[in-house]
Amino acid sequence: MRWLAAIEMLVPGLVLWASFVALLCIRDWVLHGLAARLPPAQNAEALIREWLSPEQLRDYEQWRKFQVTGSAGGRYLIAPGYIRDLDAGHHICFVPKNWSVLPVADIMLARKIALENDEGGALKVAYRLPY
Amino acid sequence: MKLYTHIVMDAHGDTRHTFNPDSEVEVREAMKRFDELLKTHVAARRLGEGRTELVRSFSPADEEVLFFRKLVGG
Repeated sequence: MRWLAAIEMLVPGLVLWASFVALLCIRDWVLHGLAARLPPAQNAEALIREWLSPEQLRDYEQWRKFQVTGSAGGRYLIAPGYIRDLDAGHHICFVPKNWSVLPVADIMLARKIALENDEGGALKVAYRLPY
Repeated sequence: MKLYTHIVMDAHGDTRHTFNPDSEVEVREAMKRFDELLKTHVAARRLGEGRTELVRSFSPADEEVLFFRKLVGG
C-alpha cells in the first residue's frame, strides 16, 4: 500500500510537469509556424533550396537538417538550432554577426558555406559545447 | 539580356542587387558594392549541385554571389 501512496503523491507533479512540457511544445509550434509564414522566412527558404546539393535538399525537406563535409574533411550535421560535429560527437556553434535578424534558413546556409569552404576558419570562431 | 545578382542576407531574408554585365557603369557600381560589402561580409559563388566557393575579389563573370555577415561564435 505504501507504493500506492507514493504514486498518488507523484501523479500531481507528473501531470504538472507534462502540462508544462506540452505548453512549451505548443508555444514553439505556434511561433515556428508563424515565423515560417513571414516573407523573410519564405525568401530564406527559397534561397537555401537553390544552394543545397540534391542530397542535402532531400534531407532538408524530410528532416529539416542536412549533412555537410568540411573543407578539411570533417563531417557536420546542420539543423535549425545547432551544428553537430559528427566526428568529435559534440555540438559547435557559430553564426553570421547579424544572426538575430536572419531567418533560420539563412543561418543554416551560411553555416554550410562556411564549413564547406573554410572549415578551419569556422571552427576558429565556433563555440564548442560539451555535449 | 541576363542580369547578374548580388544577394545579401539580411532581415528581409535577402536583398538582391542586379546588374548588367555588359554595362560598364553598372559593373563599376557592382564592383564598388562588392568591395564595400566584403569589409563586413563573406562572399560566395554558387558552382552548381550544391557546391560553392568563397570569393575574395570582384569578377564581372560571377552570375550570382551571396553575401553573409562575417561569423562569430554563437
